[in-house]
Amino acid sequence: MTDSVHNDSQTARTNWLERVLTPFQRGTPPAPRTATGFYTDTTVCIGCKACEVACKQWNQLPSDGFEWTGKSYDNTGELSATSWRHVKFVEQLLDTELPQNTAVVEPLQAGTVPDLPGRWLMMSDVCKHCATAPCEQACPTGSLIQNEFENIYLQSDICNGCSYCIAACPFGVITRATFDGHAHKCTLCYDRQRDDLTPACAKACPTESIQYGPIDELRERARERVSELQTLGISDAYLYGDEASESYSQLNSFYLLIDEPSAYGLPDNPVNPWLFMKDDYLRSGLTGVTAIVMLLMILWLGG
Amino acid sequence: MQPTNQSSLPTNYAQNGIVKSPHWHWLVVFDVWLNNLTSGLFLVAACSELFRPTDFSRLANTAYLVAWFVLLVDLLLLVLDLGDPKRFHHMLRVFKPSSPMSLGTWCLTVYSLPLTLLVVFQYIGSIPDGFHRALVITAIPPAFGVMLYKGVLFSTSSQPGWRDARWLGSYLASSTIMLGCLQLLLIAVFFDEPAATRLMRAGTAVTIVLNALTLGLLFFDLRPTLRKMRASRGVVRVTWSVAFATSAITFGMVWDESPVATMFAAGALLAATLWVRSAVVWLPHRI
Repeated sequence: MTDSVHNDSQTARTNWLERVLTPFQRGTPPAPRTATGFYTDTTVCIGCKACEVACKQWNQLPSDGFEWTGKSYDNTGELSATSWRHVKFVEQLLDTELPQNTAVVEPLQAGTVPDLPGRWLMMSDVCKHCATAPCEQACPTGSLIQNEFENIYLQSDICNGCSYCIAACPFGVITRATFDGHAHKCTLCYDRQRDDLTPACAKACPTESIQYGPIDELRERARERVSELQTLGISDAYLYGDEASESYSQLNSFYLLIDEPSAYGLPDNPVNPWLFMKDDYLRSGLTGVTAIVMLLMILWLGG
Repeated sequence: MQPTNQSSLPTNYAQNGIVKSPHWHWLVVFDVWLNNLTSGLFLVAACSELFRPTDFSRLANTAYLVAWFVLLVDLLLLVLDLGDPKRFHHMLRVFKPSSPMSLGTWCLTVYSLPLTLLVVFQYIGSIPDGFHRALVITAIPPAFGVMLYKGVLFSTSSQPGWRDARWLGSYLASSTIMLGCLQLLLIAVFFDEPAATRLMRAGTAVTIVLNALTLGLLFFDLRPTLRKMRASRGVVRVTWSVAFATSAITFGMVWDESPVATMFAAGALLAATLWVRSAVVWLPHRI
């Protein structure tokens, strides 16, 4: 036992010394595997939150407490360092007054659907695992990487909490934890994927709203589902993030929606801020050079 | 019930902001300001010393010392602002030019080395002129990088206001050179160097004009965001008004040869630049 402890501390010292002496040493990256992702069909989500629970349980994420927001049945609120899945309750209820002296709840006939003034949409939100991810482009420590499954993986043991990934993400996914100062987000259950297991949330989803698999197969399946819904008369069904736009890459976690993206708290037209970086550098550089040239002219002409 | 497009109905997510604000507050405001002060003073002192050594050699040595002290405080703020300050060195294990923060960190590191040597050699004693010049020239490119990266870092983000601020980097760059001229002017006034004082008065005045121009362009960029601000509109108006008024007033005052007027103009300009930076850094938190 004592020998084992002694060996462990000696190994730790050797590792520390190696890191100090060879700070730029890198391990061999794993060989690329089939790109995987999530397809979330919001039309079949029932808001059961099994995905949230499964995610917390598998990833050993602490509870966020239990507080009502006061404006929604959604009591998770938002994605955070301790909630990597968030079931959104889009409560589109008209603000109409019921007639007075009328029973609020009337018994329904079997097989009928109540004609309520509005609707609820449910959507299980998660990191979008963007094909070209601004957070990964921003990260100055190499903590955020695109792994062998083409998922965006955050190595919290490397992150130093600079928060640039939070500023860069157009979907508001990443959060810095108060308990350790590091950023945390969905790993797409990297550990499970490496063992050929389905991510916890998709495994737990009882309606197959969250589907996991090779990304190309998911996109094909999703397009078929949109056609099916449109045939059934749901003409508003469309896919969000399955294709790259002029300003943003494909999402490896994409959605089937039936309302505008903003209704679900998604940007209507996400923009990758790196599209402007070169021009911004150029503009700034030219201004800096102009200021210095003006100064040099004064020094030169100053007599 | 048949789902229909009811996006006009109230929803609780459509009205909420989508992106999350980073934990960048007062430490970052002072970091941006000190970053501009150190790089500006060094760049202006280096250019002045290389072009007019007879007028600026003595002043430049003092300027390098001040720039070094300001840099140390700036680096301390940068480290303290991290969620886990003990891991600050993780940024130095990766060089990633695609990330403005990585590029900026490396520029700061490379800039600090010759600047530190310049300061150290001042106290060891005289060093060969060629070696001194080589150190100054070596520090210029990374100091230029230090000046540039901060504005681009903010504009290369998804935060409301910053993401639209295409002229933020230009504003900070012109402001950096303006602050450099102003600091060197103060040093020249302090050491009573008439030729250097005259040149730096002109330098400060000209760069104030350039800075006011880029400030106007930045304001134009930010107009759509400022319109969306739920609160603090009064603060915004006051900020921009003070910034422009200070530019106009100090432009007039730097020509006044009395040291009191120069000190007053410098104080006003330093305060106004700090105020504009705080307005920019706090922008996403106020929407």
